[in-house]
Amino acid sequence: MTREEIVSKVNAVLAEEFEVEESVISPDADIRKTLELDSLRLVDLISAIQVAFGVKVTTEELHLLTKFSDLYDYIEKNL
Amino acid sequence: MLYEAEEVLGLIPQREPVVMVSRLIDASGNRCHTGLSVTADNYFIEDDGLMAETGLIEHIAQSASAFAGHRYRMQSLPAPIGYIGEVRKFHCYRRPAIGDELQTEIIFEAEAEGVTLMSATTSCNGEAVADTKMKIFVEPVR
Amino acid sequence: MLLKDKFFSIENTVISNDGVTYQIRLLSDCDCYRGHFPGKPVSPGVCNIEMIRECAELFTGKDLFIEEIKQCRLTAVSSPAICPSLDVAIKLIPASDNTAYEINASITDQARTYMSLKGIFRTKQ
Repeated sequence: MTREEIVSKVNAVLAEEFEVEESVISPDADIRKTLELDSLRLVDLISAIQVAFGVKVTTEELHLLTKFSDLYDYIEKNL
Repeated sequence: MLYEAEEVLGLIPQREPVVMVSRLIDASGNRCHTGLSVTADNYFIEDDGLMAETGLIEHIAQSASAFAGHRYRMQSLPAPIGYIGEVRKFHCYRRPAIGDELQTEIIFEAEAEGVTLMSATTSCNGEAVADTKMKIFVEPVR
Repeated sequence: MLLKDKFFSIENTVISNDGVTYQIRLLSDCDCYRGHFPGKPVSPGVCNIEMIRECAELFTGKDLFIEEIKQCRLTAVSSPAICPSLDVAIKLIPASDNTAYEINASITDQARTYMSLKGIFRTKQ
């Protein structure tokens, strides 16, 4: 899977799961603010990534990811 | 069959009159099957003799609670108290009737910071009754 | 109804142009607290959902079936001790064929929101 494919798949999956426009998801945007993540929704992000890519992000690792570009990097590295 | 009737009470914190799971049939990995025998004295039976949709949600929540309790027991820990945090994409296809034997499959999908995301499908004789996604907070007993 | 005058009672009704708010009282002697949980009475989340349905039935004068819950968030623990008086606010949008309602509901008091719910309630045949 190329970087472009990862980016477009992440954006599509998260836009659907979190009911936001794909256009608000950009590499430099803040993940938590953009998706309005709170303690209840964090697990939705983990599950969506796991289902779409088979990549298991732990809570600890997720806390180190701030921007969407960090998330793309993480998935690319762990695919 | 792993736990039936009275034994299942060892896995969940709820007691009568609101017990909504009759048995834990099997459990392996992140998946389990539970059952509920719908009796006339069920808390959620309405005047027309059918169970309220909310009874199905409680059955699913207590099924997850029994599964979590079973997992805790495997580690020699007491049954935790679980609270429903969120119900999403719940569909009810029909309301159960007295005499129905409901079977539910629970899949624990992911866990983060004390919140477990699960999906559930309840059926009766192979016919879909309800399905949902649910989040539960699991609070260990101190 | 399963829970009206057992789990809750209605104190006041405020009708707005797109729905209704029922000011309700949680009844501490409801038998559900014997089992939920012994020695630690907490209002079952599903009873709060059921209360929304019964309030919607009272307002519409119809028996309603919970066909779908798109999302229901339970954001705080409720009990007769924590929140004896609650506002159950319901907005209803009738479907074009008038056989169902799109429901937006919340359960709140001055201090906090206990539940919010979006769903489809269908008129029973």
